[in-house]
Amino acid sequence: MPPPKVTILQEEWERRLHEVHVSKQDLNRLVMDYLVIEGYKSAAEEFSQEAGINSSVDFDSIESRMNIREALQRGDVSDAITKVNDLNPEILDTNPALYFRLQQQKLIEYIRQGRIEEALQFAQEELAPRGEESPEFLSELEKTMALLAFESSPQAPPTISELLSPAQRMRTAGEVNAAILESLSQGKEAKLVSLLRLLCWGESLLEERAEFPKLDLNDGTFSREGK
Amino acid sequence: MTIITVNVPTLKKVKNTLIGSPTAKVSLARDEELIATIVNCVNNPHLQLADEPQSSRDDIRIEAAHVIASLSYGGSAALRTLMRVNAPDAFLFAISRIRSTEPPALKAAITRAFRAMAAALADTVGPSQWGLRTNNFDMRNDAKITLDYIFQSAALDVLLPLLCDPNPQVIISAAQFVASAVRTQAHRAAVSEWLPPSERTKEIKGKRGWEKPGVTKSPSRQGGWVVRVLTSLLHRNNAKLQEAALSALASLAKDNQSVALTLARAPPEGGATLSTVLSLCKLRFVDLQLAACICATNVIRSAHPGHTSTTDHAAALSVMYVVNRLIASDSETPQTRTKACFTLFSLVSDDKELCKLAYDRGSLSKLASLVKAITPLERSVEWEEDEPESISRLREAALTTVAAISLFDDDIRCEVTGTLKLIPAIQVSLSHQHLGVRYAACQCVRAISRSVAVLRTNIVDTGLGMSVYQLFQKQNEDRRITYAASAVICNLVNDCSPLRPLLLERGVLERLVELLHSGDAGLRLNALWAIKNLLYKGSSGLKRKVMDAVKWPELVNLLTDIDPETQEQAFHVLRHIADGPEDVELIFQEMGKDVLLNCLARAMESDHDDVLLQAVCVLANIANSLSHQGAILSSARILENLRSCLFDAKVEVRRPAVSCVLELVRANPRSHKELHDAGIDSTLRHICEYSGGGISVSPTRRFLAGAHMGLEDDWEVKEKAKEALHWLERNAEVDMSI
Repeated sequence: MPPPKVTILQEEWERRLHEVHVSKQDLNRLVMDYLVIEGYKSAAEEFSQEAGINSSVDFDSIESRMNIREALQRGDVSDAITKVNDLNPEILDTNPALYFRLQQQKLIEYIRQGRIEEALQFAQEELAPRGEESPEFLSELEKTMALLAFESSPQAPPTISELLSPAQRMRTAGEVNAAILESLSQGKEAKLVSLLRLLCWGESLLEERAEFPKLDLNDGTFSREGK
Repeated sequence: MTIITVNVPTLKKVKNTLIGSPTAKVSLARDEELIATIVNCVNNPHLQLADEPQSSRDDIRIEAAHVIASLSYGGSAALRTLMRVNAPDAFLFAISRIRSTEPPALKAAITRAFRAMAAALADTVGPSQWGLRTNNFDMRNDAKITLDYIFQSAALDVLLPLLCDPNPQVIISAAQFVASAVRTQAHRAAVSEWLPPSERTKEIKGKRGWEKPGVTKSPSRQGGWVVRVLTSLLHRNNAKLQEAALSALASLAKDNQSVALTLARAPPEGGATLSTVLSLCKLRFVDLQLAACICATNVIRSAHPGHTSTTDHAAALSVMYVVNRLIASDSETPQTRTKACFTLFSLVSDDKELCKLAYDRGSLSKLASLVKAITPLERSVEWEEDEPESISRLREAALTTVAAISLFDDDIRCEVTGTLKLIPAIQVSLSHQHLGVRYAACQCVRAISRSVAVLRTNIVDTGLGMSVYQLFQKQNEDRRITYAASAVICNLVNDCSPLRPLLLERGVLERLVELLHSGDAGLRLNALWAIKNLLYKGSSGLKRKVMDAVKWPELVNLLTDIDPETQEQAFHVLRHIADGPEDVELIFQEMGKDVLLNCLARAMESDHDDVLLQAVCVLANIANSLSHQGAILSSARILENLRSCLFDAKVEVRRPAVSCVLELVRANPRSHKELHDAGIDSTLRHICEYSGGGISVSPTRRFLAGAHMGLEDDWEVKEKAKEALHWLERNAEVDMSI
């Protein structure tokens, strides 16, 4: 028989939390790390001055990443590719999946703008060879070609139409950002995000043995009822 | 042929077209003239870019270098063109001429491009660093010449100092060059023994014989200049730099005992580099972890080849912990997991204890889960056609490692077939279109078929044995696969294998003879090995059948082959045939007494113990046939060799030698005369009178001495010698009294 769960009241919980010492410096570093990884250059610069901490990362590289992200978010994939190659010509040559993702995004942008002729030509000249070189891209390619067939009509199934959503652009942008960070040997993920992950894992472990206030991830408060 | 004006915008356009697109690279590769022009921008700016102002010259050269670098990733077509326009040489020249006043980005770009070309050359020449690759024979020779040139002293004088460049990007490229281009012992030595010119004179001065070692400031201490510099890079706070340094050290330490020992041992001033490497295994970045693991692996295995110690095991465990985690992790890329598998393979292969250690740590079950997760139970066309190359390579890596771990221990083998249920995956991989996957699957079958239990059950019941046989029979199969399959056949034709009669029916003999004449040394040896196994405990009928196919003159050729391994197997074949007095007659009939005795005598004078052993065993078998003892006794040369075997050879030889003598005297009373003439009787007396009794001689002494310092300590030899002497003396007496 498993032992009965220990109950920890809200007051007690908050008292224990208070006793854990987290330095202001650590908190600042977490914020700085988040701003750098996510590419908020001016915010990072200002925060660096105000909090008096230096990042080991040079802010110019943040700017490059930010520019690339912006290019992708406004649908200018060619510009993004040029900028990635300027920043580090090694990345797209050694990461075929990423290059394909960018080419795919380019095709999606053609379709979104209704430039069907160019889309077809581009698919034939650029994407078909990718599919031939690496069969694993074929299914994604087929999905994108299906989009062409539906010509952004509302009857397209959700898996196809989601290619046109902003989420797709963000996904591509995120993958490019991660690849650049990795090439610079910086973390791919903000430490804050990893910490949250660790927190959720810790909560699920503790839950087997105790009743306690859980963190509400939406507003950062503690409640007994939890998730 | 496109003629473009060479400027920054046009070059950038070319660059952006090339990067990421293998098709574009192949297309550009046809335009040799354009590529030559681009290369010329880099190494001959004064000529090619005479009209440009200096600043744009630099930018043009940078973009040109990026184009060439990208082209280097374009496969064999692109590499061929690059070699034709002498690009590697040109870039080497360009590097040597760069002045410190020129922008750092220029040097970085040119060095990176050079590294990319060198890596492509090394990939073409081989050996492959990660798994099997399809061979590209027509280009290989040219690539080899180019690569050898790069490792000459004059070229290294330009390249290796880059390891101390102020720009980290340049250092990274230089270290990556060492990491990916150093693959052979010759190149390894060239780099690890290289010294900067200034230190070469110091080296000569430092080697005064009367000075104590360690006191001298000889630069070749601590593993050489390059190793020292790379080691210092490990302490820099730059992950890419550390990763490149680790990979470079890994390449230098591989199969290189002196470098490996340097890295493994702690110098007087501090901790061993190996400890630093192991600590880097635990850092955050996966690529860094892997590079550290590979480096540690090569150091561990090369420092004490053949016998790993307990300290090695401790280090190995640290590596295993990391690679096991990577192998088991679904969230890692296939490329990462593939490297993790191959690293584990390098760590444990051919070392029984390390294999067991890995098994105890759960490596095998993780590998099995991986294989089963990516391999369907049944073959289908869609599976093969749509499978990404990265997954095929992953399967190859995992199966190769499974094979290595299962090579020695029966319990492990039985787990592969039993609890882990890997046979369906292995079975389906045998006919996969990817070369490496087929090869790895064969290696798995080879490993598990070493277990008699598995051989008798799973191999037969699942049809796995016959699947390998099919592969073995395939005519237009890659030679490496045929070789791997032939190793399995060696096990399948053993006397305990239920498949032996079936394989004979299905033409295994004809195929083996075909391979015997294939001209490929490896295939020939394995074919001979299989024939030897086929003959073991075979009936006279079988022996005749085999020899009808092999043909006696061919066997005689093999018995006198220059390669000792071939000779050894050939004599072993003869030994198995001679195992049975009726069959000895067959040998004499077909070979002829003189040829046979001549072969035997020569073999018994061989420098190679293994050949000697088999020859003596043949002799011992012949001696079992009374009617043929006379032949042995008629050859003074053989008797003389037999005598020296009695006391001068290792125990595995002395035993059959003394058995042979015993048979000769026991059955043949008149033999005492010849034996006396050969001095065998006095040798026997020596053995009996000076036998060691209870004294145990240390095995190393015996190993080193060959002779046993006059003391015979093997019970079997002693007993037989006594008995033989007894018969000899009796026979002599009887003869005298007549």
